[in-house]
Amino acid sequence: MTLSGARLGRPTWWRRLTGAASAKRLAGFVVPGREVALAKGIDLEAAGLRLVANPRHADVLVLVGEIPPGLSNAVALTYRQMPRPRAIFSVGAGPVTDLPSPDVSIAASQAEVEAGVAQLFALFRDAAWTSHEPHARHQADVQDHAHDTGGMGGHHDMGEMDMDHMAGGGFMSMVMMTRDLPRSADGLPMEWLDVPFGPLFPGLPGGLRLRLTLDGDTVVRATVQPGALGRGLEEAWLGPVDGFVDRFAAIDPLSPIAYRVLAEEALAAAGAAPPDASLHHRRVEMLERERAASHLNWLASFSFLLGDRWLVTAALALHGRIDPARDTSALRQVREDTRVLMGRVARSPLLVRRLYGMGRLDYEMRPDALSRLRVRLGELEQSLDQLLAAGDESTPVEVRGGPDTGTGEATLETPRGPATLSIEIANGQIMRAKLTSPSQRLVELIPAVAEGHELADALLGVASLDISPWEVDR
Amino acid sequence: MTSWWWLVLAVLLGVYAIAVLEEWTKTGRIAPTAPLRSGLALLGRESLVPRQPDRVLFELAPLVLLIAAVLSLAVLPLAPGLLFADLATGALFVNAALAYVMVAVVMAGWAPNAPFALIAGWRFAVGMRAQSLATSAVVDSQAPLWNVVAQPLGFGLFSLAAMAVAFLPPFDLPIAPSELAGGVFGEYTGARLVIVRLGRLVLVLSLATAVTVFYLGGWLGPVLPPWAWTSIKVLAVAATMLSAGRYLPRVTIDLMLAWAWKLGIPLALVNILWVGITLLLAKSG
Repeated sequence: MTLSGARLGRPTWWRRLTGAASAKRLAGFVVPGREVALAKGIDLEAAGLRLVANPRHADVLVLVGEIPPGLSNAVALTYRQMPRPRAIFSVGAGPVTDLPSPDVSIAASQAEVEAGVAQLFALFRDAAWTSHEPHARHQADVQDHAHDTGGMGGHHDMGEMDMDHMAGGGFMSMVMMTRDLPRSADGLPMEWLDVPFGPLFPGLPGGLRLRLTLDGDTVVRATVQPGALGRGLEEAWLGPVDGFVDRFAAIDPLSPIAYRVLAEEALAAAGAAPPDASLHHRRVEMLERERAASHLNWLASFSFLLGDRWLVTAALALHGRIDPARDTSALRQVREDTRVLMGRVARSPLLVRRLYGMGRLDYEMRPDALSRLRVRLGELEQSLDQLLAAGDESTPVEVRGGPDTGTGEATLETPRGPATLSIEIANGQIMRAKLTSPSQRLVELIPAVAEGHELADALLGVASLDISPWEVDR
Repeated sequence: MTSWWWLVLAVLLGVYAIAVLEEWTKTGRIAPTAPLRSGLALLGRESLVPRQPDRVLFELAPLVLLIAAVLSLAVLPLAPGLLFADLATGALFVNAALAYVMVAVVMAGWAPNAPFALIAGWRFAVGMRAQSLATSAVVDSQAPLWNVVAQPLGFGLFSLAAMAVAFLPPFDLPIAPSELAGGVFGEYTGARLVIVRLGRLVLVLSLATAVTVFYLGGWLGPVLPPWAWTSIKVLAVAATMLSAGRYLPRVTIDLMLAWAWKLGIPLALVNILWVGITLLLAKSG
């Protein structure tokens, strides 16, 4: 039994004791993000892991789902930031470049996760320390991980900038030192920090990469840096019509059903047999269930950013009950608990005060973070009502074949807004597929909701948009 | 000399009890061995040093935090005569010692040479506000009426300020996990992190004891021995401070400053006026 990230040293009784102590409750840093695990129906905390927001404080790097190639460098850097003893836990993830093989590898299901966490406990208890340098130390392991930047962004990037104008030796007056620095709104020359946030920053969706220029605690410039995921999916969409739905549905792990249905609708519009009424009925039910789960997933992340631990717990508890609630009585109970949650949110003056005016957009209704929260809670209620009206029956969405030749376009209301897919088919091959997703529009709003605000408010504004980076980076 | 050993033992037990309470507020479970396990686990982990740190400040910041917290606790009585130092200016000394908490946090923010920590350090330096006699006499003076009844306004203000000094939610601006990934203490691991966490626990213990001594009658109470009353009150205050933020969103720096300057200081002045009136009434009566 060996741990790839074991700490080097003879396993004395004291060291064994520290290993056994850590094995009781391991801390995990989730990649690409907790929201992906939740969307896959995996509750890591219920399985016994304690989730942390900083890899420096993590024992286990948890990889959930296929890690996109564009993220592999950030993931490897994140791993290097973790102090030994450390482990890699793969939950339905394939190999990641520049990262050692996982210590425990399982399929993405809750039962397997619980068994996997038990294996991790045993590994830390028995193999946290090793007398010998592991034979095949991986490249990521060899480098001095104490000196690396992280995938979260943020570390050390200010070092050079700080030193540039301080260097030169000899006394330099404050007037001289700040002569060429940009002026803040108050006219004072300040130190500006150019700080990367993401693609694995705990307060933002995994895969979203921002660069914020900070004047003190105020964001003066927010730039989205696309391409963090780098999957090359759009090319993979082209090819045989058979299997297109599966290939296309892989775009967004946060709402796979919506994109599956969108692909089917586009195929139908291109000439496939029209869906029968019962199939349509089931699809609507699945979509509403996914929408409800997606909104609760967002609410949990949003509440975490807010620091409202009660709301995080409440949202997670409801999220965990949406999928198993297949009969009317269970759904009715979820609906009732949702009503209680909404009442609590509406009655919390501090929460309302915190969100009012944050991330406001200069549109007709001047929507802000509070209005977005209310809209999503309203949609959550509507989705549960529709599920209740649908009754007990529930079956997976069926995948159908497509036409040999034709063009088609379909628009579907995903949890984040309307998405449109247009396809062109010739000789049984998808020749062209163009997707317009809601997050593409939402990403463009980031500078508007972030610039000119304090860092906390800027992050809140961005999180309130409910962006899925997976829809943008294909 | 014997009482010193009792004091050390009481402080260690108090810190441990608060660690158990903190775990309870996070997980909802009472796990008596969790702090011990957590401490052992941290001691077994590598203690990393980030690239190009200010090494002196990086090493000193956890120690300054711990020492400031211990010093503030040193003048607070747990029972009659049971305190490390019975200073005539004990209450002022508490405030003076707590001022070094800000120094420690700013040092921890600057030292790792990392923006998240630096921003967090600024936040605390900007947001920290000053709050300001023999402490045993303060307790004795509450025999007829506890200060929480005589000065409810002062009690509320002091308790909120205590939470802000210990950066407990919703005032956890310098260590916000979701906004700054751990902030000022995000770069500390292993044994250094043990000192940071120990310092913070002692700080919470010290502030809960201060609330107890200044407003809740310290060791005063029927039937039970004085140390028992102090323990019960301190743990109740600590539990309240630790769990209050669970139901609230984190405050922002501008809101905290606005409350402190526009509401906190005027209300504190009102409290001073109220204390003066009650003193005059008591003398004339």
